[in-house]
Amino acid sequence: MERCKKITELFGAYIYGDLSPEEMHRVRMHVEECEACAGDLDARSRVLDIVPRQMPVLSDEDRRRIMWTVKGAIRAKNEPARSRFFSSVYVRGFAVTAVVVAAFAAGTLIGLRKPPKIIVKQVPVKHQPIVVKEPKERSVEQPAPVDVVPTIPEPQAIATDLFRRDRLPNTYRGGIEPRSPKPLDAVLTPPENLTSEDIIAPLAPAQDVLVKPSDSSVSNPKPVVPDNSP
Amino acid sequence: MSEDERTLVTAEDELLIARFQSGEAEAFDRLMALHMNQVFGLAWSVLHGREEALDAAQEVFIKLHSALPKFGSAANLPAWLYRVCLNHCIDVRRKSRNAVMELTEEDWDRLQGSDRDDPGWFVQNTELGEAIRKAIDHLPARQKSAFLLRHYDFLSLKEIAQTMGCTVGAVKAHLSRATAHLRSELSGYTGIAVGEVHDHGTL
Repeated sequence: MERCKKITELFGAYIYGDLSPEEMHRVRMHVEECEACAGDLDARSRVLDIVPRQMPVLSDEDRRRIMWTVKGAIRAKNEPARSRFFSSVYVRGFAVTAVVVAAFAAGTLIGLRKPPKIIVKQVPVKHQPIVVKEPKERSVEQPAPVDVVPTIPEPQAIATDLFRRDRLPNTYRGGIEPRSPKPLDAVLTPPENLTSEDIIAPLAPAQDVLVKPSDSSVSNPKPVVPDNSP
Repeated sequence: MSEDERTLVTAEDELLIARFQSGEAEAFDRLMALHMNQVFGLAWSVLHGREEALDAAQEVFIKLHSALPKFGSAANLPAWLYRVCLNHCIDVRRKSRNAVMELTEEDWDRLQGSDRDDPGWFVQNTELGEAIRKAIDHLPARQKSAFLLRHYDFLSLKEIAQTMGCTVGAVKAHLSRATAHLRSELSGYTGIAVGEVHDHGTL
């Protein structure tokens, strides 16, 4: 029995021809002597005979399929997840479609827009209203200013905007013009018959000239000089 | 495959592994082409389905690509491939053991066609083939690995021992127990089967 156990352990390799010559001889010798082991060996050989030893053959298509699937899996593993997402055919296709649709919609909206109306507006010319300042007291050495210095008018100030009289309150509708400046010579050269009143009169506060509403000659208004003559 | 052929294949494997490790990607394609048939065949012998075997072969080569950079120069590539393939297929088989095997439309078309010489057809579509498939499925994992690797002539006893990480004596013992198990499962078919097998021309 012990011998049978040791010999039957070699039956599998014996059937496939994998034993050494000494082992093959030992098995053959035992089988000739032991009917049970001989029957066992025969049964095993018949069973292995019915188990097919051929396998299905890989077709060229199967080989290509394996190759491509493996390469695709390796490529996908090497790509980072983000770029895998963005390199997906579906994502790319969606992105292209979205761009095309957006361009088409923008073009349609632009085409349907009405052309803008061209409106010519007369932009009002803003003039700084000219305010006549009170002449300062000056010494003889200082020359009198020739031009009137324009300043920002105060609301109660008298404006002399020759071109926007309609903006003035009714009180000032007549328009006010600055007194035309005297020539320098007339200012600096004292009059021959200079009296005390001549000296005092110019020092009185200057009064602006009022222009009558009926006077439409804006460019050459008639100065209305107050009658201060003694 | 003879011992001389195995030696040649192993030498070429070492060369291709070295080339792949130095950056040549085409070396991997050549490795796949060299071992694709054997890996597919072993997968089929466990799973008994063409599609399942193709999927298993793809998984094995994907794992190979990840493991190749760490391969040593003296590594036995076929042994590694068969070990990974067997482990993967046995896992798949275990998970699908309770699943009902149904023939797909493609299977039915193949039945009508000229695939009767296909061993796969025989195993899947005859009572004897079904019994053989079940008997092999019921083998314990190590006996199944030793039996399949030897029965389909993938490896020698020494290479099977290297693949399974055991001695040659242990491989012989596994083979003996596997054949005893199959004998007990299929002894009822041995009288009738001889005639059927000859009709199909598989032996």
